[in-house]
Amino acid sequence: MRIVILACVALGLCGSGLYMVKRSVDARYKELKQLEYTITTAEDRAAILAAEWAYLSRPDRIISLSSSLLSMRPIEPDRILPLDAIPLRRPAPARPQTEGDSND
Amino acid sequence: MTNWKTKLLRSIWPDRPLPSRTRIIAQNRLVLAGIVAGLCFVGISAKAVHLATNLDNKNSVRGNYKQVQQRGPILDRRGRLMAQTVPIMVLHADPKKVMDQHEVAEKLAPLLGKKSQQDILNALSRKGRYIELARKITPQRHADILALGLPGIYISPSETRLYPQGAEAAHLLGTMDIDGKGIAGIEKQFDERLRAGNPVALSIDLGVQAVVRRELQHQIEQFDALGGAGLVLDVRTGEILSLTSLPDYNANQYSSADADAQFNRATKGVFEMGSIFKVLNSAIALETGVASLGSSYDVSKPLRVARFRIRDYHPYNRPLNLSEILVYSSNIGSARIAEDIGAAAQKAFMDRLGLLKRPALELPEISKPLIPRQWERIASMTISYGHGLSVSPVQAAGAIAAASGHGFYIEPTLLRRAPTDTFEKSRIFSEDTVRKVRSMMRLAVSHEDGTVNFANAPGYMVGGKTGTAEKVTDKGYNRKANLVSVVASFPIHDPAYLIFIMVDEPKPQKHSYGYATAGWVAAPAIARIVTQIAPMMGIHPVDKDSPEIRQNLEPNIVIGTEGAIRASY
Repeated sequence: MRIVILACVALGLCGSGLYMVKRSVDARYKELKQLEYTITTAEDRAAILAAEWAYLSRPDRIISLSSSLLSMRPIEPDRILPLDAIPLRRPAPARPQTEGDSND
Repeated sequence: MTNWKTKLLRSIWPDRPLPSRTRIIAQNRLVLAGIVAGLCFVGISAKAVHLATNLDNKNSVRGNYKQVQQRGPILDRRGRLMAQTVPIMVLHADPKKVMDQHEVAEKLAPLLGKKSQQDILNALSRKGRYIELARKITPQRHADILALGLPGIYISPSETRLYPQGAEAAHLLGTMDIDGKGIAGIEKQFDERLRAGNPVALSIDLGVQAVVRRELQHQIEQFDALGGAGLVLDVRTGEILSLTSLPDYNANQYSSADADAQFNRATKGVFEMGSIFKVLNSAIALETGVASLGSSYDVSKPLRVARFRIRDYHPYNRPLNLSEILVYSSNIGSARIAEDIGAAAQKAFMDRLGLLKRPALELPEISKPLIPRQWERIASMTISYGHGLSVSPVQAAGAIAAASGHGFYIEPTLLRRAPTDTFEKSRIFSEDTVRKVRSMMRLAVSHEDGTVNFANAPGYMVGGKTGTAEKVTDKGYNRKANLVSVVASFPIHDPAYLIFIMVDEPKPQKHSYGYATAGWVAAPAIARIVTQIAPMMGIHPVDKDSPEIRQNLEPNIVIGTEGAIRASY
């Protein structure tokens, strides 16, 4: 008889456990759907924004904007130098050795 | 009852078994029924577990939720957007469900802007259950229309293809039909790839593209021309950085563009290219060894070949050497060189330079070249200065890139190449030959008697060659209608890019002193393009007299009667 009672309790526990798992799966599934929807709308918005950015930054527009708003022109060739042509730092002048300088 | 009848009856309806056996039989039957029921339950549970664990299963409700793949974008070489699919809202109607057409028309018309009440009524009286009233509904309109509460009027999501660059590279991008299938340009060529959601990265650089288009447009307007084509090619990889055909159209409104604007002159049009072919002629002469830089040719009298007369724009009374023939652009000289090369050798070179077959460019809009039926002495003489063989600008650029670049022929491509990509390149001209050809092209720009002086962009070492070809009409050549072009390579001591500019039927102008030749029409665009794109592409200006540059150019070229021009590169 005790075995029957134990089995009933175990069955009850299993049943409620299963029910809870089922509920949590449903909740997560809902969450997943919500996330998928958010991702899709975000992707759509990103696509629109990317297209708008490309439209606003199209070279044709930049050229006409810069020519009307900025006084910039193509750089004269004599104003461009390769990086190597610029001496970045003067070679340090040789310092006279004093006694205190030595580490040994 | 006979015996066999009893037996048969027994087998169908056996006697009641003995009471002692009945219990055993019943037990066996119960066990059997239990096993069958158990197996059924096991089967059902197994299936349930299988469905619950395999979410991607097509039969499960939860699986297979993914939408249709969105069409992939088209990008330039630096990842800038050239075509993008974006979601839109479409307003449509089902006439069978519309209760009062007049009411619908009256209420919708003010919200739809361009459409009048009559337009909507006409649309609603059409047959079918799906009638599109408007695309690209804004969220505000969407809400307003829903608030009207009209039966039979629906708003549903759809998508549209946007070309944010407008007319830039419109010919290249092409377009799609109403069902989202590519029907022209890259959209058609890479339809499957784009449909699968994959991006296509082109070799085009939008910055270079915009500069070329602008400068070409400027020259076309200045000379009241019909149109033109422009091309920038990376001579080391064969990548096309810019491909322009004018007149063009807004890529978002392909269907409203006229046929002339839709026509891609840079790939679909084939033209007799004129004197820019002399670059190839000189290179072939040097490569085959039939001539050297000092070989001189008599150009004093027009050549009579069969019914043709080959003449020069400026007659010269003295023999010209190979370099002078290119720098001054002498037809007679070129024809004489071609005679020495021979038709068969010339044809073989042209074939290896990709001029005799349909190019393998990644566009549906490409044409086969027009090749003379008989490639003999006469044909070879006219082809030497670009008449008698019609090719598309992209083919001409590819071939001349070999002769004025590093001696390799590389099939031009519209797809971006990674630095690690390997591609086919075949050596056509030796280093020595191309160095001489480049030096001559530099002199055509830098020497005061050269034809391309206006292409000079100080510091960038431009080398080039002009071409002016009379257009072919039904009645032969039309002297009034010219097709002018310039091909240029820079920096000429170590070429990186080749620029090709072609202008269709420029008219002589006062500001050009009545000239409408390539040197006046196309060359100035080259200089302006070079000064603008060189900084973009990381090419630094150099001192043309520095020894590193001098050693890459031929020291002993004689132009004019005053001796070697060592100092004038």
